[in-house]
Amino acid sequence: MEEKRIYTLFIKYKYGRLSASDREELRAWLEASEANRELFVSFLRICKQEVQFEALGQLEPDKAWDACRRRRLFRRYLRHPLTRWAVAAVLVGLVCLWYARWDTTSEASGTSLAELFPNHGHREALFVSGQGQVWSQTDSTFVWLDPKAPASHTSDYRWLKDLSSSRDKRSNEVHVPRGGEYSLVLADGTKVWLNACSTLRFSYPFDSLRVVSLEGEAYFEVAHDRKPFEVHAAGNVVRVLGTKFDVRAYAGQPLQVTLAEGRVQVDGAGGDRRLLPGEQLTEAVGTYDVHEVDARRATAWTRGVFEFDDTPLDEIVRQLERWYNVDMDYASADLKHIRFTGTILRKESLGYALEMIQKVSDVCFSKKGECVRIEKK
Amino acid sequence: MKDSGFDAMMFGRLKAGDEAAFKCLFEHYYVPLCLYSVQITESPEDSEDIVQDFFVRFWEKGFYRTVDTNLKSYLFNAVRNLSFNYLKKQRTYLFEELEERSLSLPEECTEDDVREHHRHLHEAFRRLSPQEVRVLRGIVFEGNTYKEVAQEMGISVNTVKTYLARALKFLRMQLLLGIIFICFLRIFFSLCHPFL
Repeated sequence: MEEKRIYTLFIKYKYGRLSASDREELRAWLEASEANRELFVSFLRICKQEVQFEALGQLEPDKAWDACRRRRLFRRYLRHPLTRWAVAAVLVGLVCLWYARWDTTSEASGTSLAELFPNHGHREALFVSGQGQVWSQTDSTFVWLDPKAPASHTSDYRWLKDLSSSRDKRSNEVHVPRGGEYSLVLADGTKVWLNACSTLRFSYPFDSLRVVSLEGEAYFEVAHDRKPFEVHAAGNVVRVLGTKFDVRAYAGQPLQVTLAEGRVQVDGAGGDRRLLPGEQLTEAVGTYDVHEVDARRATAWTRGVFEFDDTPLDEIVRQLERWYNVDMDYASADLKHIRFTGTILRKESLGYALEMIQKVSDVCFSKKGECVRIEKK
Repeated sequence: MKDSGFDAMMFGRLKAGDEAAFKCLFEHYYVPLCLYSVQITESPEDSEDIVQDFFVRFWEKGFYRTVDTNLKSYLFNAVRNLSFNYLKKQRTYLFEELEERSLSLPEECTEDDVREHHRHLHEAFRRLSPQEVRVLRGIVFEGNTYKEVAQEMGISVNTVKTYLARALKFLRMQLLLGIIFICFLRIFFSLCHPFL
């Protein structure tokens, strides 16, 4: 068989377009020799490898375990005969409700995102002093809290219940919840900006060493002092002598340190690495990756701005979830890789931010319960 | 951790019904099993369904009790059979034996291996010149004649033939695969974003 004919048949086979006579021709050719069969197998092998590579980008292993658990629960409930009837009844009910909704919402179909999502982030923090005193502070209020009173155990601060009475008298904590941000000045003059969902711990007064520990994200402008300043975050130590830098250490994300001015040294499982201004360090497995970035952009959040520069949607979503205290979920995983460049003021509402993103891309948002649903337009 | 060591450690705890061990097993084998299955189903979603369903049944029906010492073979064989069953329901399956021969082995289904194969293949393509790639696309993917491609590129038909021959010869040397390149290229261009 001529070369061109062979590959035409291979391709038709792959696309399922073999006619009956094509099939016979291919079958005869394959039966003719082992060399022919080997060729075909090699072709199939490469196709399979490409399919596997494509699949890598689409698998969702982090969600898999939970999906399994849901299957198990579902199967267990479904086994009971009464449950089946209950499920059927609920479905019928839902269908009726759905139609009823359709009538009332058809007029309100023009509801904009800005109206659906008025969520705002704001200045808020909870302080726990070494003496065990607890108070909450926002722009307009200052509230003493009794850690033992159930009323103070809001969802963000449930851990207050477990506050032990035997604490290190010098240790202080600042907690910024989801939807909050806070800035403060430490006793040595160091300024700290805390982003949403962050906790800073420090002792007062400082020892021979100024040590703070961080979960979440903070930007530091460290006051010059003979004593070195250290930030402990996610098992790493960032050492500085007087400088401006950002540390991002959220759970489930790799550590990231961005240096604006001065010098820092980062020590941890990735080894130790000294940074120069304009460099950003990201923790990878057993090592640190360092890139040059625009430090002003990376710290724009301290000036009230989200600055995205070719940022993938999944990172944007994480930041929006924390600042606006909302959960977002994707209609399909490949949306996570769509990239954006642009600036949004943090003081704007969530709906406004979503409208901006929707305007410049193929992504659209809708409200699903209390969550934001992300879909392709 | 090497699979055999991991399996040995898991095996005892699994037999005893230790659920934490089951979760550990799941996390260790989930992605390789999905990658193995997707070779057959060609659908990542369906492969994920198959593998998740399998694990749920594996646990709930107590198959872990009857499993032999070679845990890994058991898992991959089970997923392979389930994947083929799924495929047969989708369409008539020709050349079964040759398709099975072309499957990557379970050992080759780690994330690193898959990325490495892809990278190696595309490294070879990247070393072609832009003209060679354009000619390949024109003749092979778009199915144009030599004359049409020559006109489009503003070169002679002989030059087109030369480029094509050089590109194919280079690829043959790199990948040692003969005619397959041509066929593969058509799939390659249709599955991936063109790299030019």
